[in-house]
Amino acid sequence: MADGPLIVQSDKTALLEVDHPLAVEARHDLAVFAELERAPEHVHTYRITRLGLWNARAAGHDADFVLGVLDRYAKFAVPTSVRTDITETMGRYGRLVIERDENDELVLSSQAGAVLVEVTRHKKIAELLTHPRSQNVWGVAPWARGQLKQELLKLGWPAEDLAGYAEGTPHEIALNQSGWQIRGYQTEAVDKFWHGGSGVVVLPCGAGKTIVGAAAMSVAKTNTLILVTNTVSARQWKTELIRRTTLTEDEIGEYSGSVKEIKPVTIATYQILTTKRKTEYSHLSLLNAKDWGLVVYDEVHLLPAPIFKMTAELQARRRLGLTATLVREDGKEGDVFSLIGPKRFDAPWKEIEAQGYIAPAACFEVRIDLPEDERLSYAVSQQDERYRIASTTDSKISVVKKLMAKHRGEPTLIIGQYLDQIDKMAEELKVPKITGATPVDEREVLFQKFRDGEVTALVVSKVANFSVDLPEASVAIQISGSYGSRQEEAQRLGRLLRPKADGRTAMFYTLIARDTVDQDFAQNRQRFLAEQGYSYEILDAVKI
Amino acid sequence: MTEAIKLATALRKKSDSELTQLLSARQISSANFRDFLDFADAVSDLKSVKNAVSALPRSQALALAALCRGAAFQDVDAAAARSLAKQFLIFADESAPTSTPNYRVLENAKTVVLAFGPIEDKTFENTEIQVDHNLETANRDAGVAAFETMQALTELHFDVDQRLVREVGKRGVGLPDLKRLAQHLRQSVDFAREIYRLAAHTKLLAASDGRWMLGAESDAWLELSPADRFKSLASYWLQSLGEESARELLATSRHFQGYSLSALFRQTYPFADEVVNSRISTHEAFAHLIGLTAGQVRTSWFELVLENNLDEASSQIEKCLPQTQERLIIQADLSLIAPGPLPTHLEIELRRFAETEQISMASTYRLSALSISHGLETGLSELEIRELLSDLSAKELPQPVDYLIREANDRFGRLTVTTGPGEARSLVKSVDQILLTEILNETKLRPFGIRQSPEGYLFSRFEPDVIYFGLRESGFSAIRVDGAGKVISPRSVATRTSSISVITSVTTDLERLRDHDERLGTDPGADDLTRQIEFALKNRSRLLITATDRAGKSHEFMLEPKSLSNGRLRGIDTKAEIERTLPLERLTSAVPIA
Repeated sequence: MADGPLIVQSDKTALLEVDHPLAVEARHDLAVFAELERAPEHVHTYRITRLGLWNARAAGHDADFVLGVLDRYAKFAVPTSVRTDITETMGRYGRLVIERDENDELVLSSQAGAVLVEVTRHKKIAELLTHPRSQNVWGVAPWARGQLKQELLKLGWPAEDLAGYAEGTPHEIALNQSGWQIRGYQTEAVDKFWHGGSGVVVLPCGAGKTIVGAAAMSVAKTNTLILVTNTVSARQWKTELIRRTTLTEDEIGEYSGSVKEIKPVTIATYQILTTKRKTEYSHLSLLNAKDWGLVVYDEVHLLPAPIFKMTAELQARRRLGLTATLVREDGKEGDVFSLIGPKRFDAPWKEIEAQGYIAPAACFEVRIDLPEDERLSYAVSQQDERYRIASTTDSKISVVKKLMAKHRGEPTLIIGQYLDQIDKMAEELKVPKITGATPVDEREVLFQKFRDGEVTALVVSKVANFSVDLPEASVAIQISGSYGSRQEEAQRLGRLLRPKADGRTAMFYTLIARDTVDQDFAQNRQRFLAEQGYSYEILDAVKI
Repeated sequence: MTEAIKLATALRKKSDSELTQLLSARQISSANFRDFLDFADAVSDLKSVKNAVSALPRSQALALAALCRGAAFQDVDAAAARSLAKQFLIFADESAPTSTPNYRVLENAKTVVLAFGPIEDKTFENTEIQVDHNLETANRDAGVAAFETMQALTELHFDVDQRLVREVGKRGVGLPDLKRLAQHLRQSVDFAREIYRLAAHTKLLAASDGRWMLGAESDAWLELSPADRFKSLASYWLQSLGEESARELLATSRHFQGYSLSALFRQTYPFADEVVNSRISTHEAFAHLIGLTAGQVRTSWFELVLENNLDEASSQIEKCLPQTQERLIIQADLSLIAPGPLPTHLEIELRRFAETEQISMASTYRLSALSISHGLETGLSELEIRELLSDLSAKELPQPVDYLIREANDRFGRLTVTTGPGEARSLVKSVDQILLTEILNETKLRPFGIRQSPEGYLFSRFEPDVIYFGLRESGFSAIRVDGAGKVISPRSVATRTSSISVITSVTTDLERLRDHDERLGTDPGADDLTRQIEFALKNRSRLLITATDRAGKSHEFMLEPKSLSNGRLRGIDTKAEIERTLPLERLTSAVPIA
């Protein structure tokens, strides 16, 4: 194609012009093998990664398909280096297969003898194998399925896992769609997950990941273990499952710091699973407490390292990861691929917004000039104190007041990082606050009052960053954050994205001290959302 | 008469440019030559002969092999024989009693060639792997490669223009500089290194005074269209290959269609040694970089280049190059994307106020307070920046871009760096005292030893340029101003080598040899006479000696020297058939008889 919408670069990125008539079609095809890296308003950047190509191979596509897509939509010729790399990379997937032999024992097999010789000679892999069964088949230790996949991936020879899954103890679960309807993309996500066996579904905050989980459970109809980030989230999952499925309260257990119930559907927190007593993970037995047929990992991008290790031993169970972003600050995307599974579905935020399933949002960066005394104090301070000085400036209080006045009556969250700033803000604004020190029950009461409209504003710390469902929140004012965390920025905006009953646009304000590191960090924080197509309008505080 | 004397006689008759070429081909240095006899010695030396033989293209190699085995000159390819003579592997034997020029093969050339054994049958061996000769794919891939190389060379131009890139070792580049270029190009460091090599080879860059600077051809390069850039690169490639080699490679290429360029080169240079093979590797690498081949497969325009039909070659490759377009996509995250190559004049303008993020098929730039300030420093106005962006995007500027330009313009000049008196070479001034306090307290700026004067301004013993770049690297939008407060553009620093005249040592050496020759004929020094006689003694050759008697009258003798001692020359007068002894002080010249 001479004038297609796609420009393929030598570094294996592909730029898609979204205003081009073929952009939608191209995006659909690209999603099979390329990761959407940035999606600002006009040009989206996709990256063709090894994992993406192996994901495509896992879904049954070959290099000819990928090159065909690129050639079909490319504006200019695809660089040779990219062609070669795609062909070589895709050729590596599936040369090794993990399967079961006639005795139901795990084996590693390959028709490519040289590849098998290469990997079996590797020390870390040899430890996971038992003995050669034939020239092309090696026995695999029963416990080593996950670890073997991880090690093979590191060597660049990802194995195709055809060893199948344990069915789990059957348990009847069905969706109860009275008063609501599962959305098209949610059904598609579940279909792709189920067809693939295990894997990850990527959806924006507020796009209904819990429903995808519930729908997957209704297909699996088996005992299910759900792992979530915290207790509040566990309770929200429980409420949603009762509301959206045929499950009753008695069938759902909570396994957290305060409650230890094991039921056919059990919701456990990452924290409890990673709690150690005398150097041992004391709650590890939960993983085998029931014959789980499905394990759901909520916010898989936050999965702590020990859970990966535990997951390595859960390879016989179907695994579903749910997240808003596959980007991990610790670079463990490869472990997610090996242990949870390949990405099975994702949809850009703006696309879901266009379908009306998440609320439109307007983002603002409000620049505040520090008063002379604070500027001087900032100028003479140590580098490591500067962010705190700048981000907790008292000047932000008056700006928050102005913004609250502007949005009077609208459910507003004021989100901060520093407890003393949160305390002071809550006191000045005379609104309740929620921090890590607030007991879970008290938090739930406050959140409920907020949902019911009894309380129209809350000052919250990072405890409200994720997995807290506050559907009516429509204004967020970010007064400070975890330095340059992109993920946090996305999660905080995510609090506002539930579609509003009156269809209004959510307003997301970030208050920034001008000419300070606060401004530098803000730029970094905004990158993820800018990449998702959200643009920040810059306002001067004095003009509000 | 010995070979060396005949050779020296033949060398004398050659032009300077022919001799320079000869020295280069033989890889010999002329620095220690006292006269043409030394030159002849070096040319007939085994090592230098090996160097020449190993670089012979096939037809010349075959001709030389035949001559070495005793073939008559009229039986070998005449053009090849002429080329061999040019290279002094064979040379005109003027002492031969024939009316037409006759030739002798250099003795060491025989030694070298005969050691190889017959080469006539050494055409493509059975093991030679044929390449998948899909011309359409090769043309497409070569077009992409040529485009990327041209983009890379242009990027390198801007990089060297705006930064100080040190020469490391002999014509080397430091890793940080290579990495920066590689990062902008999203290519490997090895690719970046090749680009430097190609740029130096094509005179786009030159190393001088310990740094890399823009070369003589650099400004012209920017003005060229993509097709003309290709022509320029192809022309350099052709020159480095040499006319003869190009012709032979063309013949081989036409004859053997399915083979790789490597195989063709091996076929073309049957005597190739390590040095020639390394040179061949460079030709191959550059051929790939500039889009003459793709994955060893020759493109449609490969043979056109060898024919020196560069116009047709460039018009063919042009169809495979991405077309330039005057379009820019401006996004609210302050990124600018050119969805295809920009015409150079626009790219130059854009780079004055935008930082490069990636140079490729689609190039990405980014705006920042510092980049806008740079644009203003180079003389652009806020309006010009806005107009260029609006014209190229055909849209209104996104609000954050509009805000950034306005803010950068409002603050322009708030922080200045000027030349100071005495030890305080740099003065940093601002109306904003808190800003100066912040600079004073900035850890990253500690190495610059910035201190505060009682008057409130800051000063440092480092040069203003160093402080200016230091401040900018720490995020402070400083500008340089002169004593009158006029903005000094960062582009005004000269980084070009075009004015550097290249006087090679070879030119001087040859001049010296010619002078010596002339003096030898008219007024030779004692040393020269002695050396001439010694050389004749060693080679048992004859000299035409001119001597004066006591009355001052000149006499000429044809002598075959026998000894030289106690200030006297003893020799056989071959004409009178008697032995003569002549005092050295009476000799005025001694000319070898060819």
